[in-house]
Amino acid sequence: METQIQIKGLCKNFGKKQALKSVDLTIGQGMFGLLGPNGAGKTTLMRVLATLLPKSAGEVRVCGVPVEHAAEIRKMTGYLPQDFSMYGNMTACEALDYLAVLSGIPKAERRKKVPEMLEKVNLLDQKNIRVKAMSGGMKRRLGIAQAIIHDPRVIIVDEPTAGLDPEERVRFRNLLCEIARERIVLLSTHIVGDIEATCEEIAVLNHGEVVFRGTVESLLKLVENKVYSAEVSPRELDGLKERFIVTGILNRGSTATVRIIAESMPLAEAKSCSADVEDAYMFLMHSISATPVQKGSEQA
Amino acid sequence: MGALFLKECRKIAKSLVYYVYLAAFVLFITGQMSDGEWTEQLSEPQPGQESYGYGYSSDERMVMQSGLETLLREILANRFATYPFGFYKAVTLNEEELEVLKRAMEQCTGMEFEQMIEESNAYGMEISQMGAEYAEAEMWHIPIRENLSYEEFEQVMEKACEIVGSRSHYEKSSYERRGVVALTYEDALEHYRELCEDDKVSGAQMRLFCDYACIFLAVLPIFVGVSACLKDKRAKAAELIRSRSVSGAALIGCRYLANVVMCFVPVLLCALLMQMPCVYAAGQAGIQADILAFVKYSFLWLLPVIMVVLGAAFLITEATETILAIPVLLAWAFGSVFSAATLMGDFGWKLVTRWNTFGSYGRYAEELGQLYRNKGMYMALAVILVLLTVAVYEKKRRKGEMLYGKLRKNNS
Repeated sequence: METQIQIKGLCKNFGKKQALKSVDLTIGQGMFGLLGPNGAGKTTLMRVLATLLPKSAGEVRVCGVPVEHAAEIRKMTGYLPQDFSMYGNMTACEALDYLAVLSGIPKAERRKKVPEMLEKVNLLDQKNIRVKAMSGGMKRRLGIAQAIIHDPRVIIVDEPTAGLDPEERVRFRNLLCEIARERIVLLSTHIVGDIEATCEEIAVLNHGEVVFRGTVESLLKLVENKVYSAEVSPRELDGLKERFIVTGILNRGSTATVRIIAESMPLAEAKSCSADVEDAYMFLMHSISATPVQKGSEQA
Repeated sequence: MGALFLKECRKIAKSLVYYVYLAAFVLFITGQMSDGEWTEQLSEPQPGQESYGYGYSSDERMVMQSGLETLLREILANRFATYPFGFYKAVTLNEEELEVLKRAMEQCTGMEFEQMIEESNAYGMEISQMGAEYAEAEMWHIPIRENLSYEEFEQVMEKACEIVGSRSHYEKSSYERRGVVALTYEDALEHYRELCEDDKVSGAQMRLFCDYACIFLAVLPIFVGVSACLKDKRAKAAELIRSRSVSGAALIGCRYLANVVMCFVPVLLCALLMQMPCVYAAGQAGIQADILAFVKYSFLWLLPVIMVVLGAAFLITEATETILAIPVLLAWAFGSVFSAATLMGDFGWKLVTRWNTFGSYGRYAEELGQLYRNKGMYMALAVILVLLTVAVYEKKRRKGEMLYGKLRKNNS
């Protein structure tokens, strides 16, 4: 059976508001990042794929199964919602076991899988901690455990690292990468660092439209030889921000080190430097706001 | 399904609302059932006893007497009890309306109204002078015209009902059940036989238990049901649970069944505990009690109430995701309690079926058919309500929105 999500001309309307506008995407095995600002339509797309929202138009197939066949889709997908939560008075073990029952896992298998999953997400020692007493990171790890306990072929993860401390975030990203070896993991985020660290393939959504689809390298190519660093006086900052895309400012007493995206050398004293995904994303979003939809060779 | 049912039971057992339910039920029922007056009825009546107590009578003469005495009492106080929508409301009449009723009284008794007042007052004086021994006084009864026909009486009651308003004591269903009569030795012996042979003592005790428990069970399971349905929303786990592969029918069905069982089991245990002294006392009196009466009556009388109340609570809460079910179902429950024209029988289609007496099997047997129909109807209604809840849940799951069309918050 194919391991692919195919989305063709997907539209989703909320009354008069168009949350998704003819989205076309093909997502293969491994980690796939969905990037975009707040309100871009990421969660709507995720919820359509998780059968929690009906589409208004278009075609969506998850591993060859049309999304309308909700019961089948639910069996093959694991979903971690943006604000994962469970009954506060259940322990980690009880919550996982309850959700496993809701996924139709028989008792003998649950007995084996629940501790296995808790161990995988490093929660076995805290299995008796109640959900209401868990930290944000622990909750997310429990969220991942519940999303994979029924061994789904597709995992949909919505903004999983928001609110986590750096250490938790790194641990969580590594966990997702491990899981993605034999599955499709669709990761939605507005945190560029998460995408950079985990995803090979990405799509950028803005106002319900796919404005970029390709590899991280192809996104980086958009800003190749366009990223510069310069030491400037703090008084010059306002002028620079008006003329260029400034992606970083580091104040150093009487001077400031700025990171600038520009088509050509912005200042005589500026030095060219290597671009990162955040620069590329900022450049892309800036280009879109200048021209309604920016489409490059690999852009959607 | 079995695993989910057990997990739902455990969830309920961990909820505070459920403990409040348990505590309230136990306190209420023990408070009401602690009275052991029924033990006196376990002794066989003997000829020549001073009194054999009172009983209800369908004798037309008795019904007329009781109806007219109620009318006289309310005319004198100019305060007429009515129960619109099940709630008590006192009605005061103007002079003209009172005059019509006074003339009707005169027509039924053949006495001047002023004379009735005098006789009634004289009886009142006599009672007050007797102090604590008033119970021994012979009751004063309003004299009824010798040739007063029942049809004529019915017309008077109809007129009174027209003036006072509906749901008053002058509605046919109400006055027909108010005939009270002193029992004779033969009556008392028949009652005793019924108690021993038909009711086997514990049957009578369990009807009384069901009378009190029914009131309670029309109210408290509402809170248990609403709490169970809102649990996903309160825990912010609704979306997560909807994304699982479990079917709506299995999820709602198991949750509903778990709530019914968890509400019913303590009731059954209480019924057993309440029945035990009765079985023991019957044994002491040489009467073979029915030890399974608690099961028969609890299943027949109380289970359908729990089922329908929980079914309605599930449907309203699932459809609105609010606590709207609480005021709606409380109004239904209290409406049913207060709309009762009598505290014994007259089951009709009421949610709260009353039998606030120990015994009277004969009359119970007469009304048993209607009780079966009533309970059967509520059980069927409960099943329909649960099916509708499943449909609502599946619709919300498919549409990702509330039933009444409000869009869910979109965080994309």
